[in-house]
Amino acid sequence: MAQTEFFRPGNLAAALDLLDQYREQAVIVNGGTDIVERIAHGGVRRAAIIYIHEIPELRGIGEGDGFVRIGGAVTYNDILASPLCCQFTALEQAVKEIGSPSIRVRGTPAGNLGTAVPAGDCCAAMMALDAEVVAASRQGERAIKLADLIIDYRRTALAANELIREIRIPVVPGGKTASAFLRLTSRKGQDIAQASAAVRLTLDGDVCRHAVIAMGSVSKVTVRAYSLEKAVAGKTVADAAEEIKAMVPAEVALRAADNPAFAARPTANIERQYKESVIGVIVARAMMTAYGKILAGEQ
Amino acid sequence: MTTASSAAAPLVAGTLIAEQASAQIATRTHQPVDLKLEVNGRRHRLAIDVRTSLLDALREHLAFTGTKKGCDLGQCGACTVLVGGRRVLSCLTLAVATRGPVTTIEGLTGSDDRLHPMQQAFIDHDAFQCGYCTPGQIMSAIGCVTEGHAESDADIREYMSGNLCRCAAYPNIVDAIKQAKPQMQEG
Repeated sequence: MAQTEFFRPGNLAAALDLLDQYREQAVIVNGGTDIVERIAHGGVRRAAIIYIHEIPELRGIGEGDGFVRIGGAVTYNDILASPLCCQFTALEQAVKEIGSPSIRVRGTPAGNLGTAVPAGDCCAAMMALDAEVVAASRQGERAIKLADLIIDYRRTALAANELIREIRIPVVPGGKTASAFLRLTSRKGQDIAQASAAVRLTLDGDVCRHAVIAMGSVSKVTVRAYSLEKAVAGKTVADAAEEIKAMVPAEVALRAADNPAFAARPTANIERQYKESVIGVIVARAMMTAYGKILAGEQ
Repeated sequence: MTTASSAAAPLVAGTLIAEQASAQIATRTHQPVDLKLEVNGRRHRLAIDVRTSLLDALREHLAFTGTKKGCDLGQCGACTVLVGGRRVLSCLTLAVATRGPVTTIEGLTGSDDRLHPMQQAFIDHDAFQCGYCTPGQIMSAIGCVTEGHAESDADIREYMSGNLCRCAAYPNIVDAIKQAKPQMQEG
């Protein structure tokens, strides 16, 4: 391809016009922490670079209709500075550990969701929080639940002319519900998760009435752990945690049949055994953290 | 929480485009684009492929080789520079998207040749061995102090965690930042 053009649309409508015009020939640059090195190194070559990071309509955080609304170009640092966002402990905990301070200045949750890699910390947190994205195109908008957004490794249900205008997290009345995120990495800082879990727990007395559990880095995509959710329902938190510690959730998909790319890695066997033995513990610990938050009266 | 970003002030611009761009019209540029970049207090003009990172623009086009290329993937911090006073990873920034004056390690020394307090502190505390990560460490350390994230050792370690040092000069880097911080705040 001979020519790449750079566009810095000043507002959302202009960005959507460009996206509609270039479609598959466009690459969106938001915070750029994942895509810029791929553009600069030639891994991604498109006719148009559409830079959306400074579009004012995408930079807001607000609340309305029962949701906390996070604009598509809001950065991780913006999230950490926002009490509205930090009411969701799982989100705060996930964002705090992403990359490094310099990454968090630029990187965005919307970019994390759009990139759709299994280790995306925001993907797991947002999934447990039952978030949805608002996909905008010139033709209009539609809301997509996170589980429907992420369809494969680095693939989303977004059309070529759509971008994530907003992420919406439903606000759940406090008191009996709280969330938490936990990940396992080989180093404290600057690492990606070997396994991660986000849990939103709702209590009925001392019993788990409902838990939403999402797992990262144990499949091609971020997955809901329905098997664990079923296993914990109706049990006391202590019993539930004890039980899931020893479980390998059915949604863990690291074998050749469902994940050939992972299975082809030279260390796949060892990695699989490791991930399978730790994921239950990670989920259980995240659940206990959420439980502690409920007892402490936090969200 | 919105940024006061003005779409009407494109940095990337032939002069005509700069004057005519509005919130309604996307800034449109052709390859190679004519880019104006303020680095270390001087305005530079360069013809550049829009896919060029700020790091390559600085090193290959403007010969500011003090900014180092380590991983070129945003993991090591060696390429850290300040843009508008805030630290950014120049390898993960498109040169054409850069907004605001850039400061590199070459821009820290004043006209009287006196070292920046952070540079002096790195020397005083032996905060490096091979020195390759040092420009990035120093730029990041300045960012760390100006952001107000150098209040304790733990704070410094956390907010410097994006800058790797394979020689493991970390304890000395923490000491250097603690020395430079009050001097920067006075000066």
